[in-house]
Amino acid sequence: MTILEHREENIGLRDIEVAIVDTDVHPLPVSADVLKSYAPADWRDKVWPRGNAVAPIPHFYDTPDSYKTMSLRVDAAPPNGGVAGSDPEFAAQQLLLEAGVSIASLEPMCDAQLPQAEHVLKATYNDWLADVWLDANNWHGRWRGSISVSAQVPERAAREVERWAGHPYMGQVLMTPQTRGIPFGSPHFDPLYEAAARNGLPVATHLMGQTPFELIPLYPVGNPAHWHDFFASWPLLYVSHLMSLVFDGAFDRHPDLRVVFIEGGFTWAMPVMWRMDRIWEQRRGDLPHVRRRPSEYVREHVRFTTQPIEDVDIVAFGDYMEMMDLGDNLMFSTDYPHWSYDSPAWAIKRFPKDERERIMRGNATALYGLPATVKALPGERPTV
Amino acid sequence: MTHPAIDANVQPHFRHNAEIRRYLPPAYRLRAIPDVEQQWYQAPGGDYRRDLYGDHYPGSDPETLCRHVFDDCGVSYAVLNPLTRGNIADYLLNSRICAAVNDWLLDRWIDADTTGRLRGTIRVNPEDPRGAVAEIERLAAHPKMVQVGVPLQSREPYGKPMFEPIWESAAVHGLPVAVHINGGNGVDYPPTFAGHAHTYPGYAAFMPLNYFVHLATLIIEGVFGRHPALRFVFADGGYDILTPLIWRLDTFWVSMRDQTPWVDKYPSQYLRDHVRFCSSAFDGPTDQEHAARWLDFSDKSDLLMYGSGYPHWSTSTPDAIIGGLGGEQREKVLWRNASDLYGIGDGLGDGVGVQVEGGVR
Repeated sequence: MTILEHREENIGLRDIEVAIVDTDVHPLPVSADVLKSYAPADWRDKVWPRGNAVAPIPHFYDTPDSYKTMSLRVDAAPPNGGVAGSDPEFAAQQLLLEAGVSIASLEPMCDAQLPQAEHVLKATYNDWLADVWLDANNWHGRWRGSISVSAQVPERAAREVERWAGHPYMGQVLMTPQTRGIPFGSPHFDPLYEAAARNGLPVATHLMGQTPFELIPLYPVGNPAHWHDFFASWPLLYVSHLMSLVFDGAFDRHPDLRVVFIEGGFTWAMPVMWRMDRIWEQRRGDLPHVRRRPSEYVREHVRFTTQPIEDVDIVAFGDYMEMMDLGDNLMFSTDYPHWSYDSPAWAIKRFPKDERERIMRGNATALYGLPATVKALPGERPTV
Repeated sequence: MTHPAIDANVQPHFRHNAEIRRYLPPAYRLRAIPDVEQQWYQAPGGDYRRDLYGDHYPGSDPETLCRHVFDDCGVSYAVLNPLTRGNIADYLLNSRICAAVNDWLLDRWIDADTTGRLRGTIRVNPEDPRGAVAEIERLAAHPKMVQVGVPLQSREPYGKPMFEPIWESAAVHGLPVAVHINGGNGVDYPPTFAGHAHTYPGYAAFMPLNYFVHLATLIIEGVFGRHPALRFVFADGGYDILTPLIWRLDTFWVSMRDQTPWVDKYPSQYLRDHVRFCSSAFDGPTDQEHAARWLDFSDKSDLLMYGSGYPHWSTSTPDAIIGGLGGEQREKVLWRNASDLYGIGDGLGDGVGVQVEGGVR
């Protein structure tokens, strides 16, 4: 086919069908000054006392060559400067056009030690994200945002949710799982959950920074020394929160609440659902407020994103996926532009054939109310 | 037909909490010591099977215990692993409590045993590494003390270097180390990664899973690599979550192994030589149709040993544990894995029966 024929064939076509939704992508401000320009003037010197810290960089548990890579894909650094994830146009080129992602859910990472400062920091990130990613560089409508909130101040977090509810591209609420010892099922979070559920926004959680050290969850038998034993155990933080959501009645108090566990594994869901069902069957007298089998709450209320998929024997992994039968609850993710990125082409082969469409697209479009088509990028072949 | 079986996890108890004082040196007899059920997360109604509370503590009468564990369940041998009283602040007092429990176990149970079918555990306090090694040295030669026992609770994971002399001593003496949720009340962190549980089931469902942090650090810190004879038994179960988490550790190890170059194979490759689990009523598929296939992930049929947890409220029978398993899986789980680990019950599978004083059962 000649170029001319190709063009003529596509006359009138401007859109593509949504085929892949990426539920975990990390944008970064191009500089601290840009981020600060969105902060209230009286907070600029309080949230960033030393003028650095676009994001909390120091990590006690460091990834390979951390001093050089900052846990980012080296090839994701924008050619025109700035760190990986700071240039919406280059990210669109690399993730949307080249990797084939139709819609990406953006999840900034930030936290601060003091509750008030953290609230201001989150609100600042929301204003920056809305302006730089969801408005200025979103003519194609393929970036979706997260309303960052502080888990320390649920009342203010609820008001922040209300401030953004109705925004055409803010798709979820984003809260840290590192809650300094408050499990997700605690009534502490009720105001936030109520606001999120009322506005049809899922509450997503994703690991945040590691400084100050108190932000790192206190492992009940002490914390490991290395990144790999620390992060292999990390899903147990999500297990703890999930058990709390179920056993402490959060889904009974908030029937419309949806929770998304991002980047914390998902193969543990099968044994944890069994374990909760077994305990519930044996101790129902202790849980009068839990009206249904725990696994039913999980299937209705909870979603898990897929990256990092365990890179193990693909046949055994496939058998495990078949047995788990959780195809309605998994949503594909890449973690772009971080170092442990899963590409769509690599990941899809790990999912059972009859679950692929749901995991790559359908579950996310249903949860977030995403469109069936989006605009094609220059160089992308429109299909609709 | 019933299967031969070894029960690798039984908790004998003092007749009453104060009985331990008889076994303490005079200088310690009047110290404050938590009761065994004095926990933040006591089960409503009591931690132990309701029908066993009577004039004395559940699991405190050898004859009754043997009737329930051996006769009612068709078990040939039982490994007794008594609780101590928590990681109490005075670690020297805690070491004396461990020694008192050991002396009581020998006095009332092991040396007094007329069945020949009870085996014992040397309880030690990991927060006092020198004392723990001394206690192992004191009792390791006893032919019926078949393992070392430590709490699941700890303020540092067991792969950290301060504990290694204890594990080294256990390995030198050919004694597996059993990790079990302790009784009493000590200086402990909240029991879940997200803080305190708000309900007893929330606690009971999560607590056993903490074993994985001990396991991951024992592998990554190189403890298993340096001590080829070292075996750990995670006696509260939690093997249901082994496959997803060890897969994750395998995956991450590939990227991170330059930080721990002494780990020279996949973490999952340490399991068969170093790790065993006792069965638990909270583990495994709720649908027996999946049980056999599920046990094959991570070759768990080589890792799992029947353990009743008697007299805990969640005590399980051999039949409850082997539902849905294949013939070879049943044999391994019910007795062969425990027989190989502890060197007891040779010939159980040959129809020879168990050699006991007074005849063949």
